[in-house]
Formats: sequence, structure tokens, C-alpha cells
Amino acid sequence: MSLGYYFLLPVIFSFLTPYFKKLGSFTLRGSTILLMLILFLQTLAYTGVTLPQISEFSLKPPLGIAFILDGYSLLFLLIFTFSALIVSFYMVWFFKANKGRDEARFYVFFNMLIAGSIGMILSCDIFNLYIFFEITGICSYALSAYNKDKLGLESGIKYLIIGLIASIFIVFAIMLIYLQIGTVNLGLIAQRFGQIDPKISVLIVLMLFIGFGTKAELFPMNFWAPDIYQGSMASVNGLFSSVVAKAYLFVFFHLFYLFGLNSKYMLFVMVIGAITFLVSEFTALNQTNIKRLFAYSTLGQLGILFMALSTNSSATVSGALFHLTSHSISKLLIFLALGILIHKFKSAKIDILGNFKSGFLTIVLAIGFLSILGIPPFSGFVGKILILKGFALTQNYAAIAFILLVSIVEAVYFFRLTAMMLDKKRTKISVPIGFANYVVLSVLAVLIVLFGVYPSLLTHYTDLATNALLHPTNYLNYALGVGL
Amino acid sequence: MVFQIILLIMLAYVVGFIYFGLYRNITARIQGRYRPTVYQSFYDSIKLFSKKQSVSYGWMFYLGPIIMATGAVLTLILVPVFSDSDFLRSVTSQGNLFVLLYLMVLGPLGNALAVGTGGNPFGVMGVVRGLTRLIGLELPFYIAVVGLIIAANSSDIVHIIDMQKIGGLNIINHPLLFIGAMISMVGFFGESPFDIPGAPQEVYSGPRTEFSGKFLALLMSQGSLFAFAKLVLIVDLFLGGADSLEMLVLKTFAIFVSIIFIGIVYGRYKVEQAVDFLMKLPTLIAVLGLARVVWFG
Amino acid sequence: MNSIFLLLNLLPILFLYQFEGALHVSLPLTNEFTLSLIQTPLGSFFAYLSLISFLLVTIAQKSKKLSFSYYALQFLLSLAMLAIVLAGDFITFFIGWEIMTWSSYFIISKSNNMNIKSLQKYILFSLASAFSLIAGIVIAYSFANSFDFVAISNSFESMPFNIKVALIVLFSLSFFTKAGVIGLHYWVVDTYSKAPDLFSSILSAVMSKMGIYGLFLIYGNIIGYHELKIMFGTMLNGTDFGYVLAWIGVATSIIATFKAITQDEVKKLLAYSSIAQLGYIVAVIGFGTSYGVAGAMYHTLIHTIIKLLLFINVAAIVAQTGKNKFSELGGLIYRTPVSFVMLLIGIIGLAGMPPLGGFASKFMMYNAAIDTKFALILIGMLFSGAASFLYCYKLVYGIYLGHPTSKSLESTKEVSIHYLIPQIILALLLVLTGAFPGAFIKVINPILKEFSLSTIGYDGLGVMQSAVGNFNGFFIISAFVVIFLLILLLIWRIKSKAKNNLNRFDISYCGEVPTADTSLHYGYGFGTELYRIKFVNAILKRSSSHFYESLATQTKKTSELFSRMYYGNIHNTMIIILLFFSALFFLGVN
Repeated sequence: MSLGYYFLLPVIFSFLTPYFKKLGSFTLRGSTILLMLILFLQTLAYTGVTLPQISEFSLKPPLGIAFILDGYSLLFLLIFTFSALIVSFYMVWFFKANKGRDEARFYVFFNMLIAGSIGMILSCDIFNLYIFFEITGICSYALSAYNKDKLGLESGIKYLIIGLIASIFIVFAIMLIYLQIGTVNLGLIAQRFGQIDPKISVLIVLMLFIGFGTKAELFPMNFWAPDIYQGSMASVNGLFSSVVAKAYLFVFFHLFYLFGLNSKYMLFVMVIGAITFLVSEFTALNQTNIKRLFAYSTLGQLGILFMALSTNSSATVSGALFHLTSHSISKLLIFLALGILIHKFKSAKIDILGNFKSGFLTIVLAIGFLSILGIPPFSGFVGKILILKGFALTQNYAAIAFILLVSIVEAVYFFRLTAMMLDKKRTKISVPIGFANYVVLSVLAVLIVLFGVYPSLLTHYTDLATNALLHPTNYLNYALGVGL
Repeated sequence: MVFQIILLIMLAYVVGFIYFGLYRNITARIQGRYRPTVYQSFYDSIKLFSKKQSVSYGWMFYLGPIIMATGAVLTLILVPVFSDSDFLRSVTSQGNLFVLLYLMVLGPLGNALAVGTGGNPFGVMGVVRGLTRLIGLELPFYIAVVGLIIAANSSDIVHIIDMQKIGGLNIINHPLLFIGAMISMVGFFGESPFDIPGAPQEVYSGPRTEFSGKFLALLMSQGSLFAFAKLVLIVDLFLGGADSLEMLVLKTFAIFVSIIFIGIVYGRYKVEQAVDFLMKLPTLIAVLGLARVVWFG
Repeated sequence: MNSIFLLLNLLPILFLYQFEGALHVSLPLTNEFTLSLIQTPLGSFFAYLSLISFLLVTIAQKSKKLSFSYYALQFLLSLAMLAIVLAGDFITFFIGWEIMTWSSYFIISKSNNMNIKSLQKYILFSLASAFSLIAGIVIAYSFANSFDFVAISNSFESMPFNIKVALIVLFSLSFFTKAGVIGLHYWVVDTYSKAPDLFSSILSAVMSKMGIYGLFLIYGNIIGYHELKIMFGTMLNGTDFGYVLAWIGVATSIIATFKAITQDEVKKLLAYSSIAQLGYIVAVIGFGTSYGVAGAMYHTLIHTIIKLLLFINVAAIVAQTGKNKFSELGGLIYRTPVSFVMLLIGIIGLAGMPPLGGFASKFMMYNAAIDTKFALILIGMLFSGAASFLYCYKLVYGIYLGHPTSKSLESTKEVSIHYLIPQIILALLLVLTGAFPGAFIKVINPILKEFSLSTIGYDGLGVMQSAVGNFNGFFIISAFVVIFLLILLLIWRIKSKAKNNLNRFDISYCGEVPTADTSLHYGYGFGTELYRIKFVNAILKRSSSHFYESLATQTKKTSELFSRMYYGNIHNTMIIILLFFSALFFLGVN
């Protein structure tokens, strides 16, 4: 199957949504599940082939448009398609529980969002990348405004404005690149980036940094993010946290290493990541809205990932990619579980965590919390220890101390929530969970434990990804059409 | 050996009671009042053994004095009485100073249980005062003992006695430690200014409040045994032990009289005053002595 | 359910049937990490300690209706502890350590007395301990390129001096927190007192020992006492390092002892006493001599036995009466006589009185101090020991002696047999450890060899030898029993009758007759007079809580400050982005 289907299939399904809707909601939901299943299985199939893979359209690169799948994008592709599959299952419960919602509108944007995100990580020229960036953006605005209430619309509008600002920066950056180098092919840009006048190159880098940094929720460009999370549905939050934000992060570091910016800007990105981590975790302490709280938590984890991914050391980067995967799974689990509670209590105050009665939800939430905190035997631990190990190998003890100290702050609110769940003195109301959710949440929880006790399952892919990210020679050859 | 132990207990019993009689006698003389005979304590003891216990508070109440007496006897047989003789040497060689330090407290603690069982608040008050006092009281004595152990590099009392034969008496070699130990001893003998637990005017004789009959007699007897053991211990540690009965009596008596004379001229401290005092000057003196031992051999 | 988990608890013994080398497993986790379990004498010592403790506590738990999840978590906890003590590398150690942290957290949260604040205290200190540990681990890794104990131990010598010190500090901080060294003990008292009653015994007897195990592992095995001596130099006959550590331990012991005396809640007293006893161990653990290690080991064993005994005893009383304060208890001696005797044996051990094991361990520690000539340390230990008599007495008096403080206590029945069985076993152990100190020396000599220290002599099973004197436990206990029986017989023979006192007011009370309103249970208030002693008052009125409370307040304020930035004004967000861009551009271009 050509890589193009990763984009094409969701788009086709999106366009067919009105017809599916006429056939009934079962077809609508089923078709989406089917689509996501196909994408996921296809991705699994790609784990067996030699990488990179390339699919070109019309002309051969570097002149034509092409999708390239290397180790780095494979890991993200796995995360994205898996998350999408999980969310599509979850939405079955959601729409059953919330009768009368406009399903078609959700699925159209959901499919397009996945298409855009996948396009961003596969695309090998910067202009297409921008197009997918915009597609993802527009779908995100629409999805975050899916709840047509005050908060939902507010978040949609805010996201739109911020998205436009980010786009402006990126468009300018692409324009400057094109003016300087005369191409939009990533391979050619990477080759010739060093020849640009340093002053212009600084400007380009800065614009890309601001553009993608804003979308990837870096401090101080992330003041909008918690509002978006607060206004959106829990499942959409899960998507934002484990797919959309990760897609922007992917592009950020893809360009970062492709353009060889690592030596010059490493410390800068690391410090920005550290500040993001610090500020977000401290801010999260003070939150009363559960979605907002986990929004800050997501920002904080992105901060750690930025810190670790910018180090240019394969040990740390591999750890960070492990952590990223683990974080995607855990956050998805948490947001989906919270969705069930929010639906039941019609409130997103953190008190709802203290008021539900369900052993299953308590256990899966606790697993999610412990995993994010990096406590064994859950997957977060492996990621964290690998990151710390990587920092230790480069003798960066300050980063170790910083991560551990801020993690204690993180633990404060995570365990406050845990303690609320366990507090017997609160009034407890039993919560219906639904069969689909039992399956979905169990799968996520089992994966967290599995990656925790048997990390080799995942380290294979993170090592591949690290290699591809830090040594993009193969990728460049394919992008330039040399390898063909 | 059993014979020797019985002999020793009888000796301690007699000497202890005579000392106790003397104490009452001398105190009365100094205070200028009528005095009992020296043998009064014997009479009291024998009389009490034959008298009936007025009330009972169950088995634990009975066990207290017995534990206390056990502690006293055990202390007595573990302290070498005569240096340079094989008298009970096989037994005393099993003990050492650390065991003795703790055995000296075992009795009072056992009795405290009985007092608690009795449920008399005065009794318990006495016990609590006693234990609180112990915080300060043990301190100079501990320091002195530790100093001697380090000086002799052995916690074996016989060894400490032997060392004094070669290097001179500890009272001369380590006078500061001796002073510290003696101040503690004043308290151990229940003398002013540290006679807080049994203060008859305030807490109604404290721990002994509820006891009568044979148990009071047992408490008195063990008191005299224990007093003798403590005197012998001081003699062993600082005065080079005694190789004959006369020397033993002479040396213990000297220690005893000095303790009485110290005690007699002071009024009673409150418990917090006592601890405060003991933690300052006596501790300082003893620590100086200790520092001398540790740093200057 | 109880029986199943009882059997499950016995399972690990199959793999640990001998003291050394019965177990050698390694599992690859990733390409880089291998989990390995190795049985060393040190590990076996602690493994058996924890296994037996869990077994005894499970027996006592038969008297309670506990859920499956409780037992499962407890079993997980026991396995985690085994992983800690049998670990052959730091990753296994750390995984065990963290599983221990969270499984105990979930058990503690099941208590009815628990509140969020105490839970937070527990978990945050545990995590701080764990993070300090992991920091040390990765720093060690950066030099050794391996997590294996042996590899790290081998490369330790070649590390720079400041890294060595950093490692020692990080590891020590982590293990001190678990053991509750003063200043880091803030969580201990709250947690021990609010945890489920029987689980407190596990916390105090076993979990705190994991901190001690860690210290042994670091000082003895990984760094090695010899290396510590080279690093820091010597002082008197010990090391500088040991001297500093000893002061930390002694200060812990003294402060906690005084705090213990003033507690009204039974389990709080025990918690402080636990801190104080571990203070002794910390004090001697750094001496770096055979006697120091032996003393610390012996006291570890004794403290485990005693604290299990006391906590189970108290748990039984709390279950029976529903009261957990000295001011609400009293006079239970003839109502629960067996419990009383068990507690009595426990406190005799706790006070370190001669015939029982408590003395043997203290004797070893004192000898260690004499051996190194750390005289002031020894004085400190003796001093704290003398002060501990007060809380020992308070414990027995407040619960069992004196008068019942309320009517309901007068009809209390003896506690359930399930509580008594483990107590009786423990009491016997306490007697045996007192009577046969030589046997213990035999057990720990392999551990001393593991630390490459000289072994200690023993003469038969009854005599323990040391540099400055021998302790014949068997003689002392036999002599004590014989003399006791003889005097008992003598007194028995002297005939005298007494009327049995059935009326609690029938006491000598200065010629007056107390009434029902008269407060006769004096002892629960002990400790008030301590406030009048200047030195003790200075200790009692200080508390580490101010520091931690203000830390929490500061964190909260920082959090508020930061969250003020996120107030959701989109214009300002845009302006900030533009300003940030301009600032970076300005900096970047120049």
C-alpha cells in the first residue's frame, strides 16, 4: 500500500461521512473504527519492512511530492494510529451515552485530524508539511468547539487565533527558505541550510521555533493551551495530548536535526523545555478544573520531552521517545477515564475524582498516574530512567536534579488526586462504565504495565527512531531521490 | 559457690543494715534529735517479715518487690567483692560494667510495675519522678564509668581493679570522674538534694506507698543489699577494691559517710532542678575527666 | 483468604532455603538493563527478617476481616522488599523500592483514620527518598556504565572525590528518610499512627529496616568501610565519617526519645520510639568496625522483634477497646493478662534490660563505641537509653496499670488468640536472642566477611565476645531466673494473708478516701514535667514541622504566582508571543 493512503483513506472516509450517516449511526461508527483499524494494521505491517519507505506522487523527488516513512516517523505513526483506534472505540460509548449529538460532524473532523497529523509526519517537503499543519489546525479548532457551549466556542476561537499566528510565522519561514534556497524539499533544504546568510538563518529558525513552539505548547507561548483543553471534550483532549501535540513536536525535532540546528540551539531548547516543565507543574498544583489540571500536566511532560530530545545524545533521545510513547498512552487513558466521570457528574471539578465508586476506574487511573510520575513497574518508569541515564552519561547532573525536583511537585497533585479517589469519607456514587470502555481502558492499562515490565517491546522501535532522528542520512538520500 | 553466695548475701545484709542504722543515727545526731539504735533497721525488717500484708492488688503487685530483690542480688553477686581472691570469681567474671549499669535500673523498673498495679497516684508519681530524675542522675555516673572503661580498655571490673594495682588508684588518676560518679551516687542512695522519688512530705513516700508486711520488708532488705553492692562497686572502680574484710568495710564506710555528709546539708531539689543541675556542673566535670582519658590517655 | 496468603508468604522460603547462594537469577529487561537477584548473607538476613515479620502479622490479621486487595497489596509489598534485599543491581533495587512505596501507600490509604494530608506527607517523603536514590543511581551509572552492584563498587574508587561525596549524601539522604532520621522523620509519626493498626507493625519493623539495609549496602558493600576510611580519614579509633554519622544517630535517638515521652497517642509513642531505636543503628553503622556492624545488625533484629510485638499488642488492645490514647486507657492488667505479659516482655527488651535480647544488642553497640573510643557518642546512647525508661514505663502503665479511666474498660476481655500467637512467638524470640548472643554472632560472621571485616569471637551459643569484655547472656538469664524463683519461693513460704482489694478506691491517700471524681490514673500525663527541664524543653518545643509547612506554603504561593500568568486573555498571549519573538530575534541577530 502506498503511503499516500494514510492521507487519502481518512479523507475519503471524511467525505463519505454524510452517506454513512444516512445509513445509520452503526455504519458511521463502524466505518471509522474500520478505517482506524486498517491504518493501525497497516502501520503494524510496516514494522516488518526495511525502512525508510518512500511513496512519490507524479514526479520523483526532489522535484515531486513524496511521503517518507523512516524509523522516527514509524514510531509516531504507531502512536497516532493506535490512539485514533482507541478513541474511535471510545466514541461508540460516548455517542451512545450522549444521544442526539451530531456524530457526523465529529467524525468528519476526527478523520481529517488524523489525516493531517499523519501527513505532517510523513511529508518530505516543507510546503506540504505546512498544508497538513493547516489541515490539522482547522480540524483541531473545529473539534475543540464541538461542544457548542460558551467554553467550547471560546476555546475554538482562541485556538483559531493562535493557530493563525503560528501559521503566519511558519509561512514566513517557508517563504524565506524558498527565497534563499529555491526549494521546498526537506532534503535539499537540509543540504543547503548551512549556506544561508547566518542572520537570515537565525530569523528562519526563530520563526519556525515560534510557529511550531506555539503549537507544541512551549513556554511562554502556551498561555492559550489550558483554555483549549478546558473547553474541549475529554476524548478530544486525549487526542490533543497524545496525537496533535506530539505531531507538532515531531516536526519540531525533525527539522531541528535535519537542518543541523542541534549544536547551536541545543541549550536554548533545553532551557525552554525546562522552564515549560517547571512553570506547568507548579501551575498545575493550583488547579480546580480537572481538564485544565491535566492540560498543565501535558505541558509539563512536553517540557521534559523538549529537554531530553534536544540533547543530541542517542541514549537520552531514545529514552525521551520511550517516555513520549508512554506519556501518550497514559494521558489517553487518563483523559478517556475522566471523560466517563465528567459525563456522569456533568462537571469537571477535581472533586469528581473523590466522588465516584468504581474499583476498575480507580485502578486504571492510578496506573495512569503512577506511569506518568515514572514509578515502576509502569512504562513511565522506563522512559524516565532512560532519560535520566542519558543525562547522566553526558554528565548533565543539573538536568537530573532539575527533573527529579520538579517531579516531586508533580507528585504533589497526582497523589492528591489519588488520595481523593481513595478517601473513604467522601460520598461515593457508582459510575456506569460501558463495555466498550472496559475494553478500551483495560487495553491501555495493560499496555502501560506491559511496556513497564517488558520494555524491549518498545525499545526496539525507539532505538530505530532515535537512529533515524539523529542520523538522517538515509532519510536525506530518499528525500533527494538518491536512494531510488 | 552457693555457700559463698549465701555468705555474701548475709554479709551484705548485715553490713547494709548497719550502715542504714548508722545513717539514721548520724542524721539524727547532726539534726540534734532523738535517734534510733544502730540495729533499729534489723528490728524493723524482722518485724515486717512477720506482719501481714494489709491489701493485695493481684500477682503483679507481689512480683514487683521480688523482681527488685532479684536485681539487687544479681548486682551483688556480679560485683567482685574481694580483689586478689577467688571468692566468687567464677560468677563475677560473667558480669561486666555494662551489665551492672543496666541491672542497677532493672530492680526499680520492676518495682515500678508493681507500684503502677497498686494504682496509688502517689506511688506512680514517685516512680515518674524517679525515672525523670534518672535522665540527669545517670549522666555523670555513665560518663565516669565510660571514662574508666576506656582508660582500662575493658569493661571487666576485675581488670579495672588490677589496673589500679599497677598504675595507682583511679581516685587519684581520674579525680574528675570520681567527683562525677560521687554526685550521682548521692542520688542513687536517695540522699538530698536528689531524694525526689520518695519524698515523704510530698508524695507520701512515693513508690513504697502501698507496700506493707513482708513485701515492705523485702524492699527494705533489697535496699540494704543493693546499697552495699553500689558501695562495693565504687570501691572497686575508684579505690582499687579491697583484699580483706576490714579494708572492705573501711573503704565502703568512707564512701558511705561522705555520701551522707553531702546529703545531709542540702535541701531537696524539685525534679526539674535536679536534672538541670546534674546536666550542668557534674556532667561538665565528668566530661572534662572523660576528655582527659580519651585525648591524653 | 488469610490462610491462602499465609501460605503464599511461606513460598519465598523455598527459594531461600540457605543463607547464601541459593538464589541467582538474572532477567534481561531491555538491551541495557538486566534485573538480577543474588542471595548474599546480608540480603538473606534482611529477607528472613521481612519474611518472618510478614508471616506473623498475617497470622494476627486473621482476627480482622480484610479485603482481598489488602492482602494482595501486602503480598506485593513483601515481594517488593524481597526484591530490594536480594537485588544484585540498582535497577532491581529501585523497582523494589518504588513498588514498596506505592503498595504500602495503597494499604495505608485503607485505614479509617487516614486523611489526605497524612497520605500526602507519606508519599511525598517516600518519593523524595526514591528520587534522591535514583539520582545517586544514575550518577553512579555515569561512571560505572553499569547498574550492577559489583561494577559500581569496583569503579567507585576511581570516581572524583566530589562525586563520591555526592553519592554518599544522596544515598544516605534516601535511606535516612526511610529510617526516619531526625529532620527527615516528619512523615513517620503521622503515618505510623494513622496506618491500619496491624500494618503499623510492618511499617516500623520491616519497612524502616529497608533504609537500614540500604545503608549497609552502600557503606558496607558498595563503597566499603575501608574506602570510607581512606576517603575521610580516621578519628580516634574510628573514622571521621563514622563520627559524623554517629552524631546524627545519637541526636535522632535523644530527640525522638524525649518526643516519645510526651505523646498521648499510643502509636505515636511507638513511632517516636521507633525513630529513636533506629537512631542507635544509624549511630553505629558508620563506625566501620566489626563491632559496629554487629551491633547495628543485632539491634536491627531486636528492634524488628520488639516493634512487631508492641505494635501487634497495641493493635489488639485498640481493636478490643476502641481507644488509642493513654488518657483513655488504663487498668487492663487483670482483664487482659496475657497481653500484659507480652507487652511487659516487649518493653523490657525495648528498655534494653539485661536478661532479654534488647540488652545483648545494646551491649554490642556500646562495645563498638568503646572500641572506637567515641566516648561522647556512647554517653549519648546511654543517656537516651536512660530517658527511654520513661516512655517504656508510660507504655505499660498507661495501658495496663493504674485505674481504668472509663467504665467501659472494666468489662474488657482478653484479646483474640490470633493476636496472641505471634506475640508469644516474638516474646520467645526475644528471650532466645538474649540467652544466646553467641548464636547470633555465628549468623552475622558471614556478613562481616562480606564487608571484609574481621569476624567476632563467640564461646558456645551463650557468650558473645568483644574487645572490652564478654557478655554471657545464658548465664545472666539463668542466674536471673534462678534467683527470682528462689526469692519467690522464700517469700511464698513466709505466711501472711492479705484481703483482696476489689475496690479501686481502697488505697492510702493521705488519710482521705478518693471518690469517683478523683483522677487516679496519674501516669498518662507523664512528660509534662519534662517541659520544665530547660534542656529537654529546648528539644520538645522545636519541631521540623515549621520548616516543612513553610516549604508547602512557599510552593503554594509559587504555584499561585505562576497560575496568574494563565488567565486566558488571548490578546496578551499574542503580545507575549510577538514580544518573545522580537526579543529572541534581537538576541539572535546580535
